[in-house]
Amino acid sequence: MKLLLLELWFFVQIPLVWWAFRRFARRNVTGEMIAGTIIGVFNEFATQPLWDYHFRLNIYKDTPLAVVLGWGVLFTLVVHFSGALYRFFLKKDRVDIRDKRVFLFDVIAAALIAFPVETLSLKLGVWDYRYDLLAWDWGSVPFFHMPWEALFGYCLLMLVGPSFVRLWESVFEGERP
Amino acid sequence: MKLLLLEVWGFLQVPVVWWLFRRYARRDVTGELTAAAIVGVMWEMATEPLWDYNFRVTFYKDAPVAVVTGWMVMLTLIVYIAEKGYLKLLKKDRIARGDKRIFLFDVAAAALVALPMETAGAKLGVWSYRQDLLQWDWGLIPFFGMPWEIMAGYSLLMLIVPTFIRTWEGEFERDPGR
Repeated sequence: MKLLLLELWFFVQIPLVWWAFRRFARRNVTGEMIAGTIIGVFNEFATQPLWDYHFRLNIYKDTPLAVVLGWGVLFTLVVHFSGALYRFFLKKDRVDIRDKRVFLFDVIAAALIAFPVETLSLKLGVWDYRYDLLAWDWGSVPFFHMPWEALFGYCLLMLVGPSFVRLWESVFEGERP
Repeated sequence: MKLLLLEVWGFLQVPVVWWLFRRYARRDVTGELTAAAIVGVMWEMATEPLWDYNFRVTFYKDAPVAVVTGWMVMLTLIVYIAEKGYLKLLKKDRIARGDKRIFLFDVAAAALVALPMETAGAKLGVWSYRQDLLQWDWGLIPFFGMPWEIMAGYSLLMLIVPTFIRTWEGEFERDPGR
């Protein structure tokens, strides 16, 4: 029952986050969600054997549709949180997508947003790591009790993924870039 | 011995390709190579259990440095060929920002460059697929004799990665002192 509710939540969060951005940040995040979902499709397809999922509605082997769509929400949150940090600390009014300092804020956003979401989902049983295959041995992140490799992986992904989201989000919303 | 020579070539190909671009295309591909190295490291660390590698110099478990250099060369070639195809076939003088048709050219370039390189690497014994884990069952690509899932994976990768390379290659080549 818990997993069914979580699977429902994974779907419900999409319009909810979209609406929250529209209502409170006056932002249309349709493009960010589409771009993030494309990354999710790639990521889940490429790494499918390394995780065991426990949702019902799957699109490729045991990879759930809700998880793929969840990447859209996650990247939306990470990109906007990173952008907010960038603007605040560098005293800018917008993110220069070719400023290398944006990498730093993307990695921080990965640690502050993506990693807690990953931890929560794992602890709630949405997925399990195939530790027998991954053979992670760098130890655990304090407080989270999660493998350092998971955090490191997110940091690497957040070096690459946000550029794609930032560059294509307005195009996916049908606007001229 | 064959694997040792292939590993040496794996390291040599980066300066060779860099020089060839400089010499024949009058293009500095330092930025492309650097951005592609980041992608290569990310990819190899994320998927390390899914392949068995047979090179000696490794950076994470059995993932070899010379495979990351392969990513550097491969992605640089793909971005270049996709760009050439786009400019020629669409009669443009530069890639228009936000033109989604570039995805098509990136995927086509992956089929022309990545698939043959992937096939060569696998057939020469540089790596083998952990089919017991992957359980690919879509059949084989004619002529190449490679699983269709590989082409699907490259196509998905090409939706994302060339944007990263095109966005950052100029910045990675810029002298930070200037």
